Amino acid sequence: MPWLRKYIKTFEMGFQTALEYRLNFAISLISAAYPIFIQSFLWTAIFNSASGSEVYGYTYRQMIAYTFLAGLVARLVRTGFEYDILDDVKTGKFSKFLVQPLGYFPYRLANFFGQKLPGVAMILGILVFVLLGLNHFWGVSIEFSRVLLFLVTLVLAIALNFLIFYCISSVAFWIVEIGFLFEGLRIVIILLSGGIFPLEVFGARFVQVMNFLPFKYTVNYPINVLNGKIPFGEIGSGMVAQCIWIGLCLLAANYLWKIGSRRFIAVGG
Amino acid sequence: MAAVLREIKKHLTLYGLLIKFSVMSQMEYRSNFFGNMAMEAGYLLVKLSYVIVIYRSGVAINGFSPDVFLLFIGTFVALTGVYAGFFMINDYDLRRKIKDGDLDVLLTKPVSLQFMATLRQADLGIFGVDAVAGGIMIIIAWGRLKLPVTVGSVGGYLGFLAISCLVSYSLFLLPQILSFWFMNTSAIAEITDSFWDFNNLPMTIYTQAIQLIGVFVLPIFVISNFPPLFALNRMNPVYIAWAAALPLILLGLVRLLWQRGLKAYSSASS
Repeated sequence: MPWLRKYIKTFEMGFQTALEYRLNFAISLISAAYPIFIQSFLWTAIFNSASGSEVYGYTYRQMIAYTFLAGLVARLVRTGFEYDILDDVKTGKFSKFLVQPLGYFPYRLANFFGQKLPGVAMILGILVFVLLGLNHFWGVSIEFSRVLLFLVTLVLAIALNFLIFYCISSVAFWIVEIGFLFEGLRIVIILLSGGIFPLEVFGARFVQVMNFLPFKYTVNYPINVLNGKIPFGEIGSGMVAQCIWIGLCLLAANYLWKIGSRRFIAVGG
Repeated sequence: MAAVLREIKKHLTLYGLLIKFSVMSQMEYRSNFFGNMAMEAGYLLVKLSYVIVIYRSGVAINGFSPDVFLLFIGTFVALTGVYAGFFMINDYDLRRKIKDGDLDVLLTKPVSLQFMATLRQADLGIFGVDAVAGGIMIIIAWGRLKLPVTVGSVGGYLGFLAISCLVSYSLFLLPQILSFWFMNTSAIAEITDSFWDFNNLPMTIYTQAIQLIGVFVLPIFVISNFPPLFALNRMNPVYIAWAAALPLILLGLVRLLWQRGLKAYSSASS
């Protein structure tokens, strides 16, 4: 398939870029550890002060496990290409994609997965250590089949989050100075996806609303597949929901980019 | 003494003008201004999620009721407005100025270089969002805890807030000054910036050892813990003495390091 070759090259370029800034990535992991540290102390204090053994339907071990996993999974699915898209639209670089035999969507997708690969490998390595640590010190056992299912849901979660942010990026065609808004949306989406606290913490009504939105399928759902909160029989329906949301976001992205790119104006050379 | 007062008055007048210019330049790109506010509102929502978690848990955590937590988090939010709106923006820019040799222009001005390089810009949008939200949280918590509204209690609380601002300015400027020696300190800055979030919750949730380190070694907990601890009448004499001495120590340290760093400044790219 010769048409695929250019996207494989794009994937390789993304991979090389990620390796170029590996120290930066390692440092960003250190700063990502702070919220995990703070939340672990908060939950420890809450559980020590609570009368029962469960808080928000979680035992202490489950809650700490969730806190660690949420920090890692939220980092795994995180995007960042939206700033590149903004730059492409703002500076007019987007125009070269209009004349070259290169689709912008597959280009961004290949580049994103290429850039993600080293980070994913690093975080999955940490995840293995976290799971082994949870098992060794606290006796939190996780079945191997759940780890495999978790990996499938994780790939779907990364794809879904890519599409969510690809849709959001299209706003750059309407508002050029939008960089800070991306950051605001990113942090709110992390919260809504369960990347900071389990969604159950905010009440049953909130969970019901979140069931109708795609965000929980990027962090909360993969973690609950792994930690056993979701029974085996219900995992399939969650994966179907992930696929449906991927399809819907793909349609939305296609529509938004179609009408957005009509507004694109490139001035100069 | 009169000369010192004249200098302070001159710098305060100048600071007022610099803030005015910052607002004017931000208004030139209004979508950026509102984008900044939206970003800060996003971060604020996350801080509020901690409040929700604590209130919904319904327990007094380590002897602190949810209302007490609200007072601490409100103080943290308000101080985040000061830090992000007045200090952080300049700290980031300082690295660039040193790297690009942009300090040259500021060196020629007839005012303090440290003042111009570290306080020149302000983002009132970010400050406004956090100051209003933090203020509301503090007022609600103050009322629910039935804390006295007297000149002593409110004035003391505001006094400790002022100390917190001075500590924030100097503590987070210190790692940035390293840029005079090392051109790329973004990694150090990213790690130290993340330390700010340790103030999100009262230090009582941490172990005694972490509390001691956070107050006396790396005095991050002084920033958002001391004002509410004063309001709650829980400040011990050691803490009060430390709160009085710390800003002087840190500002002195900043001044010393700044002057040393300036000698190492080589206007690299000019």
